[in-house]
Amino acid sequence: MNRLFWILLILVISAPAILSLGIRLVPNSFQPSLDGTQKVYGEVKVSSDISSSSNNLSGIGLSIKNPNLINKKDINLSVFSNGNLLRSVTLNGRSIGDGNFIKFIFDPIDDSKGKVYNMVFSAPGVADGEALEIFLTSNPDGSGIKVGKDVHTEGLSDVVFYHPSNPLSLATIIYEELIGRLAKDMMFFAFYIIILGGLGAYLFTLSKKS
Amino acid sequence: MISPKLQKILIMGILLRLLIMPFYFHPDIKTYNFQSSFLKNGVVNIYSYLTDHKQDLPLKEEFVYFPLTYFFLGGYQILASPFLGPGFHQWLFDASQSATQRPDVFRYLFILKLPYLLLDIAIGFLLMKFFEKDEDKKRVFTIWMFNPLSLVLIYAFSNLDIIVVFLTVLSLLLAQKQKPISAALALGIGAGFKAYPLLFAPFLMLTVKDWKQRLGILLVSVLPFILTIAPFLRSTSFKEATLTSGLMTRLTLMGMNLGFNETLLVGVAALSVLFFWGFSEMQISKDKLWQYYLALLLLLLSVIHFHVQWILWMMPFAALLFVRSKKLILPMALLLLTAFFIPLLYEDKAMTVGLFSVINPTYNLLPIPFAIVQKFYDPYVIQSILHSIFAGGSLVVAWKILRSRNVDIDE
Repeated sequence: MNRLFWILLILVISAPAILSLGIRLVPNSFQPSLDGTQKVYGEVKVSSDISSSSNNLSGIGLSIKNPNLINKKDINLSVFSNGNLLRSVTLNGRSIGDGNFIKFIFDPIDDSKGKVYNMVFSAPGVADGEALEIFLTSNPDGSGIKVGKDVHTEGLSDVVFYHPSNPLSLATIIYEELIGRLAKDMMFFAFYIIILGGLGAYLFTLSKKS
Repeated sequence: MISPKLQKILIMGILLRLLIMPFYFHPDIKTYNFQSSFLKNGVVNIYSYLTDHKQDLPLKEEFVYFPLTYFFLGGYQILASPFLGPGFHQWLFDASQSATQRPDVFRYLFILKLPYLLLDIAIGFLLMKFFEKDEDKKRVFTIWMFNPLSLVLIYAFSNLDIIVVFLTVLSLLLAQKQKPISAALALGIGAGFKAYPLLFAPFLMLTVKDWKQRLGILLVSVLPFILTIAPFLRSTSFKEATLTSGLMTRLTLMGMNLGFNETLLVGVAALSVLFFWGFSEMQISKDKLWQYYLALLLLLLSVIHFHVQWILWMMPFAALLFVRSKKLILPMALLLLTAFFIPLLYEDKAMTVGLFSVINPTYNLLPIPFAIVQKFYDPYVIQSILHSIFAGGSLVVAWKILRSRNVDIDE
């Protein structure tokens, strides 16, 4: 019985850590609201500056409109830093379902923390009538998008992804953040700890007696 | 006063449960609590209310449970509201992904699952009453308190079926204490939450010899169910949300075409076999009633596409079997595990990685078992194989349980 309890206890406590070993991408935030779209085709490129909050920047996710899978051509993402092309990703419209959240994943940029990157979406071989449309938000975290040279107030409705530096650090972050969030509801946190502590102490007393 | 050994098991069991309750989230708990929250505004017919206000509500789902569930959950919310705090209403109405990341979400999950904890522990105590020897009592209590499947099913999946499970176990105990009418009433109240206890009523009826008493049992089982749904029967929304969905529909899905628009319903046939088995015995011993209940559930889940939550219905009877039979421990455990893995292969994020989304939303990015299996093989085929294994094994276990002449299966 004691052994079974300890096995279950360890499983319950370590399950999030075990599962976190499978996480390859960590998002920076939730996707903002979807408030409009911008077509990407021919000469019409969409660009946005992304400020990286962590190292190992490795992708960006967006919702994309492709009604009736009309677009079956390539869309490119180019990542620039100070005008230098660092990464490039190409996806095909065939694999982009209408309204799907699509991730453009590239090799992690190791020292990305605190730097600004210019993300440029382009689809040179695509005509206006078959263009993919990128979803925008009216409440962007950063600056608005640029379409060609025009600056818009709307930003990309995006999620930026980072590659965890190592699985252990990710598990540590997850537990730290969890405890941090728990502690924000101080009343419940204190009650919860007292209950757990009280029961633990009582269990200890019982074990000693037996 | 319970012995120090039982106290230790109880405390250990509670600790495990407390460590799961606030951190695991299935969207169902938010949905049915959102729907039940309208009780405090005086809404009685939640079925029509949800249909009429669909456009304005953030969650559009129908309330698929029977009225007692609505009144129970809504009533509990009213009682618990001082502890839930002012942000609870906002949380219920927040349909965005960020609802799982609010700092007070742990408090809500903990408080909303508290009745489950009480009923869960109560079941453990009820199960002990089926045994005379202290050793057996301790065994069944340990099995119940440390059953990992129950822990996941009740607290991770936020399974409100625990209410009905408690009532079915109470009914079984009352039947064993030779109180068949009270047992029938408990079943009937259970059916007011979810209809499946009604399937037990014919077997409970067979525990007495007198036909008048048998009819009384049947009537008392059905009456609370009828009384609680009667005021809603005119509501189309109620009928669409409850009567035309769930167990009864699934029970009639699998069939063999007999021609001329007639179908042999396999599920109904399986239940009929079981009933006539008991009927042919003239009278079912009250001590063997749980064996019929377990056999019924094994056969039932064998022939329908089931929710993972429904596995909980079997758990107390399986716990009794684990104490009553050494030979069937492994086969039954294997069947429960198989049954548990079938729904985990459904294409539903909320049933696997989504359960961790309160701990961290990043878990939502993990591939679900369906997608992982899909890379190697057709997941539907794997599901079908597992379900077939479950059905085959269930037939054997049900046969062995029913064939036994004694309460202790192996003798």
